[in-house]
Amino acid sequence: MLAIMVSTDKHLDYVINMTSAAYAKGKRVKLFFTGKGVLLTMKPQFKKLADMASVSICDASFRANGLHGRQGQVPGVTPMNFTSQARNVEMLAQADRYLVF
Amino acid sequence: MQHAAIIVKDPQQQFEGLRTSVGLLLAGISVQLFVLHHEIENMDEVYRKHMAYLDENGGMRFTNNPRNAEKFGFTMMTIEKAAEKIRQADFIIPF
Amino acid sequence: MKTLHILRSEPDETVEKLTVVISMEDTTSVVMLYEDSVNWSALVDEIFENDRVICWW
Repeated sequence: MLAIMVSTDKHLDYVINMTSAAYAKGKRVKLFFTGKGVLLTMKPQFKKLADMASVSICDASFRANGLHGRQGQVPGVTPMNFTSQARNVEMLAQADRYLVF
Repeated sequence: MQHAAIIVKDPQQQFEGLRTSVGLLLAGISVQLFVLHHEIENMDEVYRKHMAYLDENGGMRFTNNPRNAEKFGFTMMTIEKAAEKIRQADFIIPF
Repeated sequence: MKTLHILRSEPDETVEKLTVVISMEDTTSVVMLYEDSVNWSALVDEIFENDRVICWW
């Protein structure tokens, strides 16, 4: 399994390219959005990621970055996808490889 | 025990790096936090609490910025020495 | 140990210093994502072929 922590809002293209390439090779991909990375959940292209990977979003970061109340606007996820840092650590422990974007 | 090196260079990610460090400690992973170049910008109550948790649970804090050492108790270390420690880590996570 | 360094942006002095020391005693390779010609499919293979992957700033 390939795990990717996204902690900045600078590299959505990298995240999409990496996830697409891994998905095409049959790899399981898990994504964790935290810090400013949560801002990417508001981009239209985010739906693509939710279709190819298991997505988790740090709820505390989501609120801290002014997105409180906008959970329903994130395409392809449910309230279950909003989690804590514990999910990130779980993902790190389970992953064959762990990337940071 | 697995060992993580959290390296914070982006001042905007100083708290995010600390928060991740605490999360890893809670999961039983040993953590060394390296804050490079910049002074901690927002040493508020929340940052202090997380830092105290890190200290109380065996996490280690290093910096190459003397102000972080003088004001906040980080251990001073050159980049070269830090790199030697980082090299030993199972997980290297730059912020 | 085989280590893959992934550079998200052009390396500054800090990244250069860290990667030099971290790469000692390792077999290393470097992929620069900021260059146009990234082969993402090949990069996935490289990620799994290496023992350790570090995504720098």
